[in-house]
Amino acid sequence: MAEEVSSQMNSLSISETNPSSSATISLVSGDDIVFKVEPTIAKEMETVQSFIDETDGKITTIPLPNISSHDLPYVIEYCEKSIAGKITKEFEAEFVKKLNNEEVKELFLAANYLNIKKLLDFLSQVIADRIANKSVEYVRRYFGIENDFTPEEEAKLREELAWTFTGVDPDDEDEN
Amino acid sequence: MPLPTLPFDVVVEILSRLPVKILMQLQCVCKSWKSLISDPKFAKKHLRHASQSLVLTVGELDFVVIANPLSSVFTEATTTTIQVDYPVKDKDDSAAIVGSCHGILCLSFCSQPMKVAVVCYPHTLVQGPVSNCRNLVKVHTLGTTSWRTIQDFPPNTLILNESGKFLRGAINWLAYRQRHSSCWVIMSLDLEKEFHREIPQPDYGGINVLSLNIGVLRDCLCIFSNADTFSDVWLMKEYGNKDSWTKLFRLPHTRNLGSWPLVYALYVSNDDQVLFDIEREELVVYNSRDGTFKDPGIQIIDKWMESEVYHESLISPCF
Repeated sequence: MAEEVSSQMNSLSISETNPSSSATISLVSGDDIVFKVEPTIAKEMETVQSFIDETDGKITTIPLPNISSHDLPYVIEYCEKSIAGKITKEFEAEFVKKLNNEEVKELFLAANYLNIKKLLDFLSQVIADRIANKSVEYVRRYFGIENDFTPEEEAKLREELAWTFTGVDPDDEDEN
Repeated sequence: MPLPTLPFDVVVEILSRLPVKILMQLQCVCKSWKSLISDPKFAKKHLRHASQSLVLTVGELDFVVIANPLSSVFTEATTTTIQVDYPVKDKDDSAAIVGSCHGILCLSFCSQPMKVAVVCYPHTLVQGPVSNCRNLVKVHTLGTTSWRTIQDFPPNTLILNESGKFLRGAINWLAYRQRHSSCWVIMSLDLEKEFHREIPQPDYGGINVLSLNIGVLRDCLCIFSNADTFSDVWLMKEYGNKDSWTKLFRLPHTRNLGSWPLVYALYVSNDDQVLFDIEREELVVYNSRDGTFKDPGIQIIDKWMESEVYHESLISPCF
């Protein structure tokens, strides 16, 4: 993947080319790295496709300032598998195995920005599975949420919900 | 780089996939999560993703309720039995399962004057006939104090209380009709319209039917017609349509079940394994593809025990 990325590195230029149905689409990550993809891949990304449609296909270079060059190859890989009809449980397990919780979150935000329904559904489940045994504090940090309960309110709530606070994993500092 | 935060609408997607116990705990995260998790609309969304299903077993004399994950019943995985708190403090009354739907389980207790027939709609209780007024069917909405009598319920129709199964907004009972000649009928009561009708039965194909039981499998009404050495499982693919009755398979009896067999299928897995309750004495898994039996690994807790599949949910009957 690293070689591919460097060979695709180009300076960012939005070029108006003569569109043809087979023209590749250039996706430009937030850190200015260009990824060339087939138009069928772009179709999987609703945000990209509607951008192409709005300009009648004239613009084939799409800047994606919210997505890093770290995340984009994963998104592309998932879309390629999806088009090929090769999304299996095994593929999905392998796909997320190498990602830590922060990377899963970044990818989820990318899928949300690009509006890729299947990837969003899948990553929702991954995040749900990964936070299922985490502490309330961990979940707050993970979602970037500020606790707006007073200490008294929270203590009272925790007392009422005492039956639910069993089997919580200790926070793993590496994943914070 | 500051940590990116997730927009609230997508957070809802993630939370709706979590088990109930975790969600209860996450109410402590912040006020907006607390109100989301207690919102009935969220409860319905969560139910669609139904995160965990359990087989609940009630021992009718020993005051024990246990739960086993449904997923482990059909696999070789060791079943982890969860002991559930017995719902009443006063243990002089034996409980029977009346029904379960939308994450609510209804039990009835014999000594209480009114026998509650089934909890169906999140907020409705239905009472079947009690012994001295056999033909009265009454409906109670939780949060109110009164029972309404369903008008025009056909006379001479004896409902089997414990047969009530909730499907498509209606309770379906097996009933015994004594008119010109006696016969079994399926009675359906639509809870929203409070309207009743008879559901047509399949053509049992000339077998000597000793007894019938009804249930719900794959979101369809089904009927078990029990003969002397086997039970046929029929599924009504389109609710109310007589022509849509399909015979799924035949379950051979492994022992003599007497003149009144009690056979009830609780659940059928995607690969056609069926969890059966035989005579309220044992639970077995029957593989309808290769005709083999398997022990689901559920502990025998009583001589007479009832089981029901329960899908956990956030729905609360709000008394």
